[in-house]
Amino acid sequence: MSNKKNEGLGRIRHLREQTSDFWRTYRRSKLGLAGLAMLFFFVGMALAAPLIAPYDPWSRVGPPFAPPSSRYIFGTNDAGMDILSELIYGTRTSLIVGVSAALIVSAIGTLVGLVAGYFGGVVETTLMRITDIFLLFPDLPFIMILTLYLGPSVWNIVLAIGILWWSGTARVIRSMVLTIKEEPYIEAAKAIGAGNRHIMLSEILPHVFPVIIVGVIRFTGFGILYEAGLSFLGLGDPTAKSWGTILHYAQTRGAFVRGLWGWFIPPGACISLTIISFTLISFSLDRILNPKMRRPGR
Amino acid sequence: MGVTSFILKKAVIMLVTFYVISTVIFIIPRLTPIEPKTLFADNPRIPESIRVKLIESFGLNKPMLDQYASFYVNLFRGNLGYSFLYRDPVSTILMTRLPWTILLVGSSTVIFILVGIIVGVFQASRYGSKFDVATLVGSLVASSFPFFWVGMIFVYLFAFVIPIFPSYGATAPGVTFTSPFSMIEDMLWHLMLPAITIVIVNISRYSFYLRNIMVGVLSEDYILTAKAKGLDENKILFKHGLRNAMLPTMTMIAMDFGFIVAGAIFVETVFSYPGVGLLAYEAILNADYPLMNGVFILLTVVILAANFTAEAFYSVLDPRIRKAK
Amino acid sequence: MEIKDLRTSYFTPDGTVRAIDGVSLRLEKGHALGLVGESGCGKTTVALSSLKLLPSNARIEGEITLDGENLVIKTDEEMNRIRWKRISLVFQGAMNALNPVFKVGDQIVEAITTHNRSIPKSHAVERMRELLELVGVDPSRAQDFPHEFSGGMKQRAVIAMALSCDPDILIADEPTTALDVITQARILELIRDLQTKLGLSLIVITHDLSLPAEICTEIAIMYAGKIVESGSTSSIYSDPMHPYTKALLGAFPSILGPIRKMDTLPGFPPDLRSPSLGCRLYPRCPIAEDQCKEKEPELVEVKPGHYVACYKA
Repeated sequence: MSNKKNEGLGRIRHLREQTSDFWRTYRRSKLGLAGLAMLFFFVGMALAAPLIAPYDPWSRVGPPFAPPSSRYIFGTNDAGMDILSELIYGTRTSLIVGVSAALIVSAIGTLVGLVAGYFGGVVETTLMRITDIFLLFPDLPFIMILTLYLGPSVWNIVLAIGILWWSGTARVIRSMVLTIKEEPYIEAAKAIGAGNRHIMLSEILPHVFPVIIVGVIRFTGFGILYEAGLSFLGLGDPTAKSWGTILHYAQTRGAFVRGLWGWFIPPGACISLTIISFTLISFSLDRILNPKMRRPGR
Repeated sequence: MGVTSFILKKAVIMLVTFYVISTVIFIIPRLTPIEPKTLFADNPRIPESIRVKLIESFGLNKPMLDQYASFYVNLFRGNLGYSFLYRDPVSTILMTRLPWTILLVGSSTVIFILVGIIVGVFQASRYGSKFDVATLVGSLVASSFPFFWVGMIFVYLFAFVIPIFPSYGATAPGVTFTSPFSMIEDMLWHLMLPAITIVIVNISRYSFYLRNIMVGVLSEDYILTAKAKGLDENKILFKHGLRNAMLPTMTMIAMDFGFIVAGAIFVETVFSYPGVGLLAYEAILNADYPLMNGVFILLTVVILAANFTAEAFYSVLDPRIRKAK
Repeated sequence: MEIKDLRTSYFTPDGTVRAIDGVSLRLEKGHALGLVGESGCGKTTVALSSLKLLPSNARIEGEITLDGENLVIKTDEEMNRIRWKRISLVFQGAMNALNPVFKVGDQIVEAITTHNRSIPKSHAVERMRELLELVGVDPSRAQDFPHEFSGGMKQRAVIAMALSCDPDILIADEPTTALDVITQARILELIRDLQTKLGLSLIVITHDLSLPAEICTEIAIMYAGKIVESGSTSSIYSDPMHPYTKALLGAFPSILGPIRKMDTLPGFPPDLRSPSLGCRLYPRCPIAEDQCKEKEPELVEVKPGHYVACYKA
């Protein structure tokens, strides 16, 4: 019995070592650090929203279509709400949607990929055919239709993304599992009599973990992009504060003709910066966790 | 005959996929509590005679299975229903708008694929150099910008602040043209901004992918052999390297059409460019169910066809498939 | 060709790896030199250095003389005239040396036409077919792609390609690894034949000390980036003096001898980022002494033509 405890402690120590090693390597990547810094900035903004937003973004606090001024840093929208406050609260929506969607996608995708890769045979073929079909689904039109029939809401977007995007992850995970399956320690585990579930979870999963993590981060970025896009098209919850929705109103209520750059430039900038941070982080992580054997040219 | 059997298999997969997707699109509206009749036919904007015909041909009063059958029969006949918004058959509307989308998406896609590939190849050949790092950061950043926002900025800057380009449409409304040249010129002028938007965001994506693929290819032994043989650098890059990199690139392009279509929808919306993308937006905005369904089916067909073509190209390019028994 | 005091280093984010640290070799015309050592000792780097095929993070110092010209200082363009025409290379793992998307015949023709721009295509094709026959591949297979060739055939094709421009020197890096034993023997036979027929000068790089016995006239043994023993084949086999050489020979079981435990050296090769001051074999050497730890032994001619770098030889 104390064996298990020792094993557990040993594992934790090992994990701690690995984490500090990893952090040391990560620190070297300038791009990765920049991404991380931006991410902290936005997460902080989301968490501290009620504290830092100058006004309540849902109430009318000033004249509509006001240009940027010292009172309303980015101006007000068509309903007299302060745009800066909208932006700050919008961080929450974007991050929540992005992360939720990414988690659902990764969870389903990993599950499918693991099962298909591990069991092979009919199971694998069936699952992979289904995956292929989902891969070919036209994302945006499908999500648009779903929203049309189910009503505009932020969670519908998360649902729709989750239903469609898991296929990419599933494919990647499956091919990894296929390679890992051949490793001797899997055979050894089977020889000891370990059950399928144990093998999949304890032996194979830790090895695909790095890929999953990178995937989660990448998909969060995509999720934020899509959520913004869909809200921009008017398919998001009109009452929720989302950067995409802000842009939607900017577009439809004539920000261009009025020259209200404060209305449409900052939200887009926020979207871009957030996505850039996720892109940079996932890029650096990928470099570290999945090193390529390369011979640079000459 | 490797290629033929490969293509046949792919064609079957495409057909099955289309079947599944169209079935899904059939089922979804019927999951809502609203009656299909109301969704697709009962609308004050549709003249009575047409309404009756719709109910008949789509079997909207009959049980589900009959509706299912009629759905496919009509699909093959090209009957996609009647649009409330435009008061025209959906298929007619689609046919009018499709050419514009093809013009916009076709031209920009060709450009960004070509340029993206070339930039990616050079980045890979100068891996780790200042050029590579600078362009890499540039492309990581640029690929993170949302299409529609870039479009919005362009509209603002180049149509309002400095009114060079027109801000919407594909041609100037209500103008008659004196010659085909002035019409083409006008079309080009309208095409510029939306096309540039699409090109900028996508070049960065493609150069990034190509760079990664090329770096992988360039580390292979046969590249070193080519170098040892005394071939000059460009030849190695393009003849030996790129030719091999094209294979995974084709697969990637095949998978990417969903994104390209999404891009088209966003850009057309921002620029009010009268293509299929804008149509989708209008349909959603106005709850025009038949129109939205029709657009969806069209886009599905487009994506599947594009995917199929790309995969077919792949099978021709890869000698391992060409010569497989 | 002569290599004098070659030092090649790779710059990596983890430190500078001194893959080759003062290697000197001599290849006489028409002779076959065997370069033997374990994986990672730097032998492939020697081959790559002589053709200046190293990645951009590598630096070469020293001299590599070919017919009086120093290759180390040549530019890439100048090297392109030497590559394949004067010195050619058959890679380790020739399986992947052929580009999978081009026909095998075309790749060989490419080698020919690159160095003889004036030659008409038909002549190049002729020559290609001759070469394939020379190495024992049916010329009609030139129309096929690499994935349709077996491992042994690929190796032969790569050799044919290497010979296409009549090089003076052929460097074969692990020509038989990854092949089954029978094919190995055939390829060795082929190389030997070609050498006699074409009067090639050969450098054979391998980790298998039994290989040079068949085809090489001289052998040099490398360890951790340095030559530890060199001499004629017969001399080395009959009278190995360096402990490492002895270990290599001892590690190879003889069919005729009595059954005995394999003698291997415990431990691993040193980290070449921070080589020690003394003899590099010190941590593993069974007969090491204090003086071995302090200063590196030089290559000394202990018998005529037989050099050893060890204080105890």
